[in-house]
Amino acid sequence: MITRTTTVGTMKTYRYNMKKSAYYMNKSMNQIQTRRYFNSFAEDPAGAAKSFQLRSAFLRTSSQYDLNESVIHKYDVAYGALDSVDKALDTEGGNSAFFEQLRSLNDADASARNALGQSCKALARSVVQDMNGRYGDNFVFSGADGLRVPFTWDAKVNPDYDPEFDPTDKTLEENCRFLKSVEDPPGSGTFVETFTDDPADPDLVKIPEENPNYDSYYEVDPDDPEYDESKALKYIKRDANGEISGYTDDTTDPDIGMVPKANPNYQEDNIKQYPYLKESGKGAISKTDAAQVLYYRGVRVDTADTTKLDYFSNSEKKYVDLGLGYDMMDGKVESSTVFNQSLQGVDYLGGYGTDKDGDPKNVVSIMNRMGEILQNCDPNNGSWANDAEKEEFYRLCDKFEAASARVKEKFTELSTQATFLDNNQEQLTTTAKSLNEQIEALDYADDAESISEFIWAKYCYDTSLKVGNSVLGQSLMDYLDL
Amino acid sequence: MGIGTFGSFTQSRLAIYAAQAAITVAGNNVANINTLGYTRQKLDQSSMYIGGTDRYYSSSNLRIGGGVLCDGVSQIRDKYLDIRYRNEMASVGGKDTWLAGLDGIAAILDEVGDGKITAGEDFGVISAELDELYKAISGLTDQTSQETYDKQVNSACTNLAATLRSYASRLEKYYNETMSQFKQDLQTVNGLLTDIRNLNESIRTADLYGDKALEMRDERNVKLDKLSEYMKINVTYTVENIGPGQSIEKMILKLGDANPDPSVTSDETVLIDGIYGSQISIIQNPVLNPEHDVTKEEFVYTDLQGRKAYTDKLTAIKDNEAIEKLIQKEGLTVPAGCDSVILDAKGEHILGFADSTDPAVKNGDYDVNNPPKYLKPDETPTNDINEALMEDNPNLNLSISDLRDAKNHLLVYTSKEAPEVISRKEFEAAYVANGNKYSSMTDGKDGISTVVTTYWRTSQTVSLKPKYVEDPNEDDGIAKDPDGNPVVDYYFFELDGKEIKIDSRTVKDADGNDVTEYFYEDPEGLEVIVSDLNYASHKAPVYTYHKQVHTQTPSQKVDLDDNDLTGRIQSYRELLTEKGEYTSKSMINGMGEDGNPLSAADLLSCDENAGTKRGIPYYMNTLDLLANRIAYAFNNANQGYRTDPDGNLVTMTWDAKANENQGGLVGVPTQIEYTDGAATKTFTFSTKNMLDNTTWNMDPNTGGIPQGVQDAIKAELAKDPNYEFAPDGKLTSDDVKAYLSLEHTVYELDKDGNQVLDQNRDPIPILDEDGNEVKTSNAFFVGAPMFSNHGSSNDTTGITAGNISVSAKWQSGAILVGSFICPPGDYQPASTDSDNLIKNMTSLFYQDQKFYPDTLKDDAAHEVMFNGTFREFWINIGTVMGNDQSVTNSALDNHYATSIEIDTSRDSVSAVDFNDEASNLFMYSKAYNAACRVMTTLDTILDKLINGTGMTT
Repeated sequence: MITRTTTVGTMKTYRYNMKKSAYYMNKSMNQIQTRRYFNSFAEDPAGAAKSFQLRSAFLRTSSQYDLNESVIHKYDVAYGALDSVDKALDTEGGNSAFFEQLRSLNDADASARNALGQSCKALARSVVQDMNGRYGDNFVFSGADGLRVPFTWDAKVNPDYDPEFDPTDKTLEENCRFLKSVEDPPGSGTFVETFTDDPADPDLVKIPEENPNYDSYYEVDPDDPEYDESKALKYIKRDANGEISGYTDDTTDPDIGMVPKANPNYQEDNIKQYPYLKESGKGAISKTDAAQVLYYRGVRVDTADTTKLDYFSNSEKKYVDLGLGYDMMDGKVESSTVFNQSLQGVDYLGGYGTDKDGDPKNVVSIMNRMGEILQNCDPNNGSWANDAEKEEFYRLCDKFEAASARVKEKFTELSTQATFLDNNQEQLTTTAKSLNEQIEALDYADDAESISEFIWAKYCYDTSLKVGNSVLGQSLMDYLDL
Repeated sequence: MGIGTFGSFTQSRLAIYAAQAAITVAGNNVANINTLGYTRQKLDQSSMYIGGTDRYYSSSNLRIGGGVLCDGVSQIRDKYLDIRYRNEMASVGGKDTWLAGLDGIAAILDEVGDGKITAGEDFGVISAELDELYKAISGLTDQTSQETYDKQVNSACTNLAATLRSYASRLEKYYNETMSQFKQDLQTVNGLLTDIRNLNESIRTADLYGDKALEMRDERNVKLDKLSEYMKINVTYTVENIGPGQSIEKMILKLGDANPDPSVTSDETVLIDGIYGSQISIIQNPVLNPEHDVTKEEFVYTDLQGRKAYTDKLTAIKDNEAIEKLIQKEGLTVPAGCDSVILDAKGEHILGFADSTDPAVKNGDYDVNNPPKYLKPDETPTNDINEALMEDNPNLNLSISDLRDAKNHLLVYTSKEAPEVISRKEFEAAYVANGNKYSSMTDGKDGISTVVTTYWRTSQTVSLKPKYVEDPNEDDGIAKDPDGNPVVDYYFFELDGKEIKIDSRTVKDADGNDVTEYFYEDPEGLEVIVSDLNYASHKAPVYTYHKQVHTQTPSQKVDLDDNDLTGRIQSYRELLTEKGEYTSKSMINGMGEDGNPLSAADLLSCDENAGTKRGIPYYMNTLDLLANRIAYAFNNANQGYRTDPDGNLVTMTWDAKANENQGGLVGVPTQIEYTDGAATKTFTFSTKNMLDNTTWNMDPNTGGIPQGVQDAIKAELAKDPNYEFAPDGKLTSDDVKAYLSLEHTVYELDKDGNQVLDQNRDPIPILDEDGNEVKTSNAFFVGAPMFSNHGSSNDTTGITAGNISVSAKWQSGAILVGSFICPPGDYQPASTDSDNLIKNMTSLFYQDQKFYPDTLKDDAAHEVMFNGTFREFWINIGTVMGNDQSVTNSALDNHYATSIEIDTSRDSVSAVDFNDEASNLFMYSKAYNAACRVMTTLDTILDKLINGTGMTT
C-alpha cells in the first residue's frame, strides 16, 4: 500500500528541509567569515579544549621569551662587568694589577712601590665598582639580594673587640701589671698570689731585679781588665738611695735590688678595647683610622666563618621559568627545569674566606693587601717595610695569579650561561612558531574547502527555494472542469 | 417488501442529498486545509434498507434498497500515531529546552572565539587572564620587590576577579530568567489543562445531544499535542455510562509513566478525568527562622497508649544494646517506621517510640527559649506553619492538585464491594452501634477515603406448615375439635432444611387485654416476633440481612517524584536544580548521614543519577569552586612564616657579636621549652609541622606539634586571662598562630646572652631609626591574602565567583611575598629573593590541583571531581558543557526528525489533500448528476405509465 501523501504533509516536510538547507548554508557562511572550524565548544569539544591548551602554551612561551630576553640583558651587563674586571686584573697591558705587581717586584722600580701600591688599591676599588653594576634597579651581582649593593668597603673589625671591656678596671687581672701575695683567709698563714696595679702595694710580690745588660754568653774572667760586671752578672744591686751599686749573681745578696713581680697576664694596650684594626694590626678606635676590607652583602669576604657566604654561594637561588619544563619534586622546584639567574658576586672574584695561610682567597682583597704592603714600603728607596711584608707580598703574588685564574673560570662559566640563554631564546622562538602552526591547523579552516562547502550549501538552498515554487504547483484541483 | 411507485423518487432524492452533503464535506476540508490541527472529515453513508418481510409477499417482486442514508460526518484519525507523536514531542520539548538552557550558559561561559581582538588572544577571556597572571608573576620572579611588577600581578588578579564576578552575575541573572520562564511554562501547562478540561465538558455536552463535536476534538488534540511538549502524557478514551443503555466517550489524561523506577506510581497521576481537571504547582515549603535551633526542639511523639506526648530528648534504638534489652524486657515491639525510643527520666522505662530521621533532633535538648521555627511574611517568627511565609522548595518538586470540575466540585471515586449476607445479630448490633441507623460512615484506613456501610434486610414469605395434635383414637391419628377440624398444636416452616417452630403465648396488649403473640427462635437462638402471621393463607415472612460497603475516595493532591516528568517542564526543573557532582550524597542514595532512609518528603527529591545531570547550579558551583580554589591557593602561597634555609621558623633577637662585633638584630630559630616526661626538651617550630603555609598540623602522629609542646603553648596563652580556647579545650592551629604572634620588646643582650642592664638595673630596649622600641613576635607571619570576599575587606571566608575580589590590603599597596627564607642568621629574606614566587605561585600554573565538590557543598561527596591546573579546570567546564550541548543537539535532531516523520504519517492519515478532495468533488458531482438523471428517467417512465399507457382515443 502506498502511503498517502497529502498537501499538508508535503508542505510540512518541505518547510523542515528548507530550514535545514538554510541552517547549513548559514553555518558554512559563518565558517568563511570567521575562518574558524568551530565557534563554540559544542561544535568540537575536544578540538576547542586542545586549542585552548595550545594557545595557553603559546602565550606562556611568549612570556618565557620576554623573560629570557630580560635575563639575557642582565647577563650582558654581567659579562661587561666581568670583562672589565678581567682587564683590570691582567689583560690590559700597562694598567693592570698584574703589570703593576711585576713592576713592584722589580727592584729597579722600587722607588715607585708607594705609587704602585696606591694604583693597586685603586684597581681593587675599580673591580669592586665594576662588580657593583646594575641592570635596571637591581644590582647584577647581588645574588637574590638585588636591591642591596653587593660589595662594600668597610673598616676592618677587630674580632677580639669586647664592647664591655674597660681598660681602667683594675679588678681585671689583664689590666694589672703586678702580682701580690695575700693571706687567704687572713690569719690562716696560707698565702695566695693575686694581682694589683699599685706599685706601692705593700703586699707586692718582689723578685731580684734583673740586669738588662746581662749577657749569658759573656765570658766571665774577672782578671780580664776589660771585664765588665754589668754584662757578666745577672742581677742589679742598689744602695740605700736606690742607685745601682753593683751587680751580682747571688740572689741572697742583701744589696740585691728587689722589684715587683710582673703579672704575666697583663695586657698593655689591650686589643679588646678597639672595635677596629689598623693595617698594621693594631687597634683603632674609629673607622677612619681602621684598615678597609671588602664586604659582600654585609659579610666580610675574607672571613674565617664562611657559613653565610657558603649559603649565598651554594644554596641561595633565584630561579626563573624559561620554558625548561618547570617541575617540582618533594615540594621543591626541580633545579634542572628552571634557570638560576642569581649571580653571586662573591663567586666571581676568585673565592671567599681565607686559605691555610690566613690569606684571602678573593682577588680584590689580595690586590688591596698587596697595595697596602707596597704603600708601607720606604717612600725614599722603596725598600720593604720588613721581611715579613716582603715575604707576604711574594706569597700574595702567587695567590693573585691563582685567584685571577679562578675569576677567568667563572667568566667563562658566565659566557657559557649567556650562550645557553641565547640558544634558549632561539628554542622558544621555534616553539612559538610550532605552536602557532598547530593552532592554525586546528582552528582555522582551509579557505578553499570552506568556500566550496559554502557554494555547495548555497546551491542546495537555492535549489530548495526553486523546488518550493512547484511543491504546490499543480493538483487535480487545477484540472477540475465540471 | 419493495418500494412503492414513488419510492424511487425518494431513492434519487436521498442520493442527491448524500452527494450534496459529501460535496459540502469536501468543501469544508478544502476550506480548513491550513487550519492547525484540522482532521480531515468524511461523510459516513449507508445503504437504506427497507425492513419487514411478508410471508405473503409477492415472489415475483425483489428486495431492493431504498437509497442512501447519511449517517454522519466522522474524522479520520489514528490514535496510535497520536501516542507516538506525543511521546516524541515530550522528548523534543525536553531536549529543546535543555539545549536552549545549555546555549544560554554557553553564551556566558563558552569563550571560544571570545576575548581581545588582537592576534593570538581572541580565544578565551578567563583563560587569557590566567595566562596574563602567569606572565605577571613570571615578570615578578625576575624583578622581585619592584612595586611596578607587583602592580602588574595585582592588575591581572583584578581583571580575573572582575571577570569571574561578571560571569557569576550573568549566570545568576540567567538562572533567574530561566526560573521565570519555568514558572511561565507552568502557567501555560495549567492553562492547557484547564482548556482541555473545559473542552471535555463541551464535548460531553455535545455528545449528550448527539453532536460529535469534531472541531472541538480537533482543538483538544491541538492542545494535547501542545501539552505533550511540556510533559509526557498518556491519553485514553473510556466510556461513561449516562443512563440505561446510554453512554458517551470520556477522555482520561494521565502523566506518561516517565519515571524509570517501576515502583513509583506517581508518574501516572491523573491530570484530567472527563470534566474534572487538575493543576500543577511547585511544592511550597515554610520559610525557616534562622534563629531556630532544631537541636533544641521539643519533640512530639505518640506514647505507648497512643496519646500525643512531648519530650526533649530521643535515644536511637539502633546500635544500642542496652535499649534493645530494655525493649525485650518490657515485652514491646518496635512499631514499623520507628527508629527512636523515648525513655523516662531515669532511662529505666520506655515511654514510647518515635520516628525521627533527623540526627539533630534525636539528640536534641529541648529549650523553652528556642525561637519559633518559621517566619511570617512580615519576618516575625511563628510556630504555626499556616501563618508561615511559603517559598518554592529548593528542588522545585511539583505537585498535581486534586481533580475538580469547572464549578470546583471535587472528584470522588466510588468503589463498592459485593453485598454480603450477615446475621441478624450483626445487623442489629450495627443498628445499635450506628445510633439506630442502618448505615455508617467511617474514615478509611488510608486516611483519605470514606467508607459507607449500609445494612438492609430482604424478606421472603414462607409457607407455614401446621403440626397437628396427635390422637391415636382418630382414624387418621389426628385430634379433632368439636367442629371436626384437626387441632393444630403449632405452626412451623422450614428454613435451610431445618424446622422452625412458631410458638405462641399470651401477653397483655396496650389496653390490658390478653392477646396471643407468636414467635420463633431463629438458627442463632434469637427470638423473632411474628407480627403478621397470616393464618388464613398459612404464610409468614422470613428476613435475610445484608451489608454492603462503599468506599468513596476523593481525588488527592499528588506530590511528584523527581523523575516523574519528561519534557519541557522537567528540563527546566533540571536546568534550575541539577548540580551534578555537587549533589548532596543523601539526594543520590536516599539515605541520611545516620544511614536511615530520608523522610518521604525528602525522598521526592532523590535521584540516583543526579550526579551526572548538570544544570545551571552545576556551572554556578563550578565557577564558585574555581574562584574559591584560586583564592585559596594564592592566598595560601602569599602568607606564611619566615624561616631559615632549613625551614625552621625564625624570630628576632639581639646579638652582641652580630655584624662583626658591632652588635645587632639577628634571626634565630623559634623555640619553646616543654616537658617530656621528666626531661625538659626544646622544640623548634618548623614548616614540617604544618599542613600548608598557614595551618598547623595538630596531630603529633602525623608530624604535627608534639603534645608536650601543645601543653606548653596552652600554658603560655593561659597567662592572658582573657584568652579564649576552643570549647573542647583542645589546642587548635589558631592557638598556635596566636602564640607565635605574641609580641615582646627586643632588649640588648651581652655576649653570654644575658640582658644588659642600665644604671637602674632595667634592661635596655633596642630602638629603631625613629627611636621607637623594636618589637618582635615569637615568629614572623608575613604576607597577606591576595583575594578576599569583598574589595573593602581582607576576609577570606566563603569566597565564590560572585564575590572574589582583590583584598583591601593589596589594593592599598604591594604585598606579594618574594620569599619566606632568611639567610642564616638573618630575620628577613634577601631583598629580591623570589623563592616563594617560583615555588608556590608559578607552580600553581603547572601543578595539578585536586578539586573536591564538598569544598563548597559540605554534603556533597568527597571525591576528586577534577585533577588538573586551574586553567585545565576552566577548560574542562567548557568541555563538559560542549559535550552536553553536542550530545543534546544530536538527540534533539533525532527526536525532531522522528517527530516530523510521525507527524507526516499523521498527516498521511488525517490531513487534507487537494487531490483527494478534487477526486471527491468529481465523484460526488457525478453522483449528483446521476441521481438527477435517475429522477429524470423515473419521471419519463412514469409519464409514459400515467399519460401514455391504457386507453387510447
